[in-house]
Order: sequence, then C-alpha cells, then structure tokens
Amino acid sequence: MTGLQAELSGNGNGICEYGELCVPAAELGFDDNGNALYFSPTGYPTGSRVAVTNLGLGADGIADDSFVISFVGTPTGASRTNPWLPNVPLFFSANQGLWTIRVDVQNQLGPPNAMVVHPTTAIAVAQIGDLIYGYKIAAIGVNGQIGNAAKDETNEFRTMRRGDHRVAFWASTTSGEQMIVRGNHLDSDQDGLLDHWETTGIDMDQDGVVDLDLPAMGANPNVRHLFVEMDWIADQPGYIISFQPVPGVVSPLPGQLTAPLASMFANAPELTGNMYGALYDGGNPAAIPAGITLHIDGGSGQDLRERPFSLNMGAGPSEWRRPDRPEWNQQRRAAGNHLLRQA
Amino acid sequence: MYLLEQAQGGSLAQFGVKAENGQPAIDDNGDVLLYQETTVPSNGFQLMLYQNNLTTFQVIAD
Repeated sequence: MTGLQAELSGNGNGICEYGELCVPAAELGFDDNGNALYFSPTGYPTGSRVAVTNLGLGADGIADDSFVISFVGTPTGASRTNPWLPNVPLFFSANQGLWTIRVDVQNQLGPPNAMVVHPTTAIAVAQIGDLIYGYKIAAIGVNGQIGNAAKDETNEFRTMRRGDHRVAFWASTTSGEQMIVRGNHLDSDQDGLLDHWETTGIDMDQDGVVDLDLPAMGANPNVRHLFVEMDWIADQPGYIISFQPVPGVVSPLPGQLTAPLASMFANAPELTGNMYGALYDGGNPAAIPAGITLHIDGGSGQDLRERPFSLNMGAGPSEWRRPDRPEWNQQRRAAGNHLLRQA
Repeated sequence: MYLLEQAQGGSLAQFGVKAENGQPAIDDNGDVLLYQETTVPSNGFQLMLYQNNLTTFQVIAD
C-alpha cells in the first residue's frame, strides 16, 4: 500500500499530482521533533488481510454511507510523548499493530454537490508491546477482523451508528499465551464519546486506572453530552478589564433557569431517520434523543454573582488542577474539547 | 480507543487456542469464528463459532 502523498513542489494546490515532487503526508501527525508520521511502506505484513465494513445510511448506493477499514500496519515512529509520562507515547508506539480508518461518503454542500470521501485519522486498536489485561502482546494476526455492530451484548438488534464497529484479532503474548480478542468501538448517541468511555470512564494510558471519570460527571451513552474546558486570561496588572466569564455565560441571569449557552444545546433537535442510523433487520432506526447536555469545566471559582464557573460537572470540579496529579489535566485535554474564550 | 471484551458478569472473555496463526473472523452480529488445531486427533482442526456473548461456542466443522 502507498500512503497519502503531500505536494512538496508543484502548482501549490496541496494535492500530489502527476509530475510533481511529493513526500509522504503526515497521515498520523508529527512526532516530538516535528517529523511527519505515516505508515511505513515496509511495515505491512505479508499475507495480512485488509478488511472493510460498510454501514448503509441515507441515500441508495454508497452515498451517505460510512466505511471502516482495518489493517495491520506499522507507523514510521511513535506519536508525540505524553508530557506527563516520560518515554510513553501519547497515542501510539512505533510498533506494528492493528489499525482502523473510518471513511464517510458525503456530498459537497454547494454546487456541483459532488460525492466526496472523508477519511479520518487512523487509530490503533492494539499494537505489539501493548498490555491486554496484563499480557504484553508479541504478535497480532487477523483474518476477517471487522464487522458492523448489529447486535448488543444480549443478542438484540441495536441501531448501528456512523463509525460503529467491532474487531476481532488473534494475539500471542510475550509469556507464551495466545488469545482471541474482540473489541468494541461504539458511539450510540453520536456525541463523539465512545459508549465505554461514558459507562466506565477513560483510561488514557491503559494502566488500569480511570483517568477521566465521565460517568461521575453525568455522561450517558444514550444521551448526547458535550464537555468543554473553559480557560481565560488572568486579570492583567494595569488593566481594569477582566476576562473572566460574567454572569449569564455559564450561570443564568436573574429570571433565567439556565444560561443561554446551555439552553441552546439543551434545545438541540432529535435526530431521526436513516442518515443517523440503521437496523440490520431493516426496521426504523432509533432516534437520537433531543437535547445536548452541556458540561463546562471552568474550575472551582465563582462569578460576580457567586455562581460557579463550572456547569454539570458532577464530581469533576473536585479534581480540578489537583497538584498531586498533574497528568490528569493533560490526559483530560487529550480526550476533550477546549474552549478558549476572549473578551 | 477500543473496549476489549469482557463477558457478562465481569469475568474476562478470554479463551486459549492452539493455532500457529490464529484466524478469527467476526460477523455483523458480533459472533467470532475461529480456526483451531486439535490434539485429538493429532494435527486435526475444527472451526468454532463463539456467539455474541462469547461465553459459549459450537464446533461447526471438524
């Protein structure tokens, strides 16, 4: 396989075209030294299968569909280092592993409304050297490694959402065991937070300790949630203005039940129809319920009306900038959204 | 990130296999089909179907 190519010199349109000088694109981002990361052309094992699953959504044919591609590959290097865990990559190591890439088929919003494909960045399912329940992976093997997630754990049909899939692979371990592993990648409410993140929290470094306890903050895999960390510029000497959120941004003004920002998300409409899900038996997909619960982590302070800067954080604010656990903040940022506010 | 499966009840859904090159295949229902070499008969093989909850399997060919 040949990875994405980026134009190095040519007509300057950013697309690698015939006759132009091109280099491998940074399809996996950049390392600590700014080097582009991509899949090594020599890192694909011989005889290993590429498997694809397709979820038919929206219009007939492949229009509006979503695909997930799975393959064994090796990055040219490890991702940037976790700033709080020396020598530990933040996202992936340099070892061979099983990866997936989601590709959505969409139409351009304006004329000529042509069909286009939008690939997302590859994510690692598991890599050699990773720990799975305490066993270190020595090798990975696949055959038909990916499928849709048509049923739940009780064998009942579930509504399949864009990007949902399951994988299965064989792994041997450094201590001589072999195992078959099945993995889930499900986002039933399509809020960008995987179901198991919303039920058990996120263990960013896979050490068995939950680093981001989303359920304690009110997350639910069947209701859309948006978590936002809000920072602002500290009051500056010599300036009389303050950048901190005023009442009405996070907290409601007198006479309001909720602040307008939270209300706007709470009023998000229900998402229905075959653009948002599919049932394997052809039935009507379940709707994604109306409303998005907004969670704002603005720290433990209060605004001028002595209302919290934070909203709907449950147990979250108690963790805010714990001096004894600085990595917590870094790992949270890796998983979350970030709102920078300016006056 | 992926959730590596656990069987219902909280115990790990993990099963030993004897296969030099394991070849699991998964279907849209979450069932996992597995090729396994056997010791009785020696050098034989069987195909096992682990159904969605991964707690039971059927030998569908041997």
